[in-house]
Amino acid sequence: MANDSIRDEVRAWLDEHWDPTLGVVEWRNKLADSGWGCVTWPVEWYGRGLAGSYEAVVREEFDKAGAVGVAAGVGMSLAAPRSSPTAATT
Amino acid sequence: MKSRFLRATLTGEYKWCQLFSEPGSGSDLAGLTTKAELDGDEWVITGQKVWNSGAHKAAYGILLARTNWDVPKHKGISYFAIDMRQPGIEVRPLRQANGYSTFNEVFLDEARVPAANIVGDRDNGWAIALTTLMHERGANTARRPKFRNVAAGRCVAEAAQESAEYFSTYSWYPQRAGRPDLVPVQVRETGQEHDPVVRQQAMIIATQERLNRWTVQRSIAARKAGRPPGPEGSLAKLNGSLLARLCNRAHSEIVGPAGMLIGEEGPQNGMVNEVLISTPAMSIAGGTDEIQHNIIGERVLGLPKEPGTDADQPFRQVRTNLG
Repeated sequence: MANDSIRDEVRAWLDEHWDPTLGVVEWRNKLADSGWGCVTWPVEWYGRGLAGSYEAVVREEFDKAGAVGVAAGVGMSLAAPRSSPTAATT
Repeated sequence: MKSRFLRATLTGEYKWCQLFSEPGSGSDLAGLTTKAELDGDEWVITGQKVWNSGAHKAAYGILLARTNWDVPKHKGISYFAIDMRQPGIEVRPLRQANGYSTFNEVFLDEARVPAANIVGDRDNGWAIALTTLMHERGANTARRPKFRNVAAGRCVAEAAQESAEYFSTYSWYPQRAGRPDLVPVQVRETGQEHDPVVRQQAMIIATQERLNRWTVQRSIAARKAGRPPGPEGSLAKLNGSLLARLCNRAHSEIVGPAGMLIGEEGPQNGMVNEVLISTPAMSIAGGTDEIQHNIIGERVLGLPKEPGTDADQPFRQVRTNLG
């Protein structure tokens, strides 16, 4: 799958669904159901089964739309990480 | 169960904490002595954990506990998801030398975990723990999301609030890393920009800081290209400790005794003092310098494994601080 088609797909989904007036949990449940919150997770577990290389594209489109992503914290960084680890920074 | 955990973690309804380190096993994490015993369809957990960020707010913890004492230390550890809100768990805040209180110690006294909440197979938690640790070494690359338009609506405002709470735990981390950015500022403000020794220190720090940034960028680029994580994590972690130490010494020599002043009276609103007190943590947290040396020696340089007397011995026979 090309980056551009993923970009079009996530943009179209956000155009249709992003709603800043929702409660954050309600919104993130939509992310879970669509798989756009954690694209590297398997399709059967709230993801889209995509390679980590697609994360940046998806993130860019969320930023452009001003849309909220998945929760910040130990849960998403350690208990259920989205993709393979990177190097530490300071 | 997995379905509920994943969904509620993604939405932020379940906050998590990490229950790995113990007072007697930090670098030697595999020597942990928190025990888990099966009682019917529940595990009963007793032991003590330490350095647990966010444990006071967490709904669940990722926990390592020993389930088999008759095999070598790495082979008898299991990985659990434990409910933090139960009578068998007491969370106590720790106060740090730099004045912050961002960690806890956690006491487990016959805390209970349903048998279904074991992650992976019994006695096979070590491999999973190693993956978590790799993520931890990279966790600081986690981008802090920007919420430009909080007025846009409830969703953005709630997410911004959650993010502010989470990242407040880490407000002292830049000082822990040495604040190399403040070195040239302090050199100028104290009028030492023509001192050759001070200039040399500042240049070494600037060089080291760039080396570090590029190592991290290489790692991020490799990941974006879909390549698996290499040894960059350990190299960057070790370089980060070195840089923090260099900064500590430079800041200390540049400001002199004023570095002892905290808060608004101190240089850079007390940030220099915070650097001086916080940088030692850099060589310890997330795997000590010595552990990084071992990893680099074994995985990068292909050197023989660190000699150990206890790696093949049943853990029951290993001398520990349990006596």
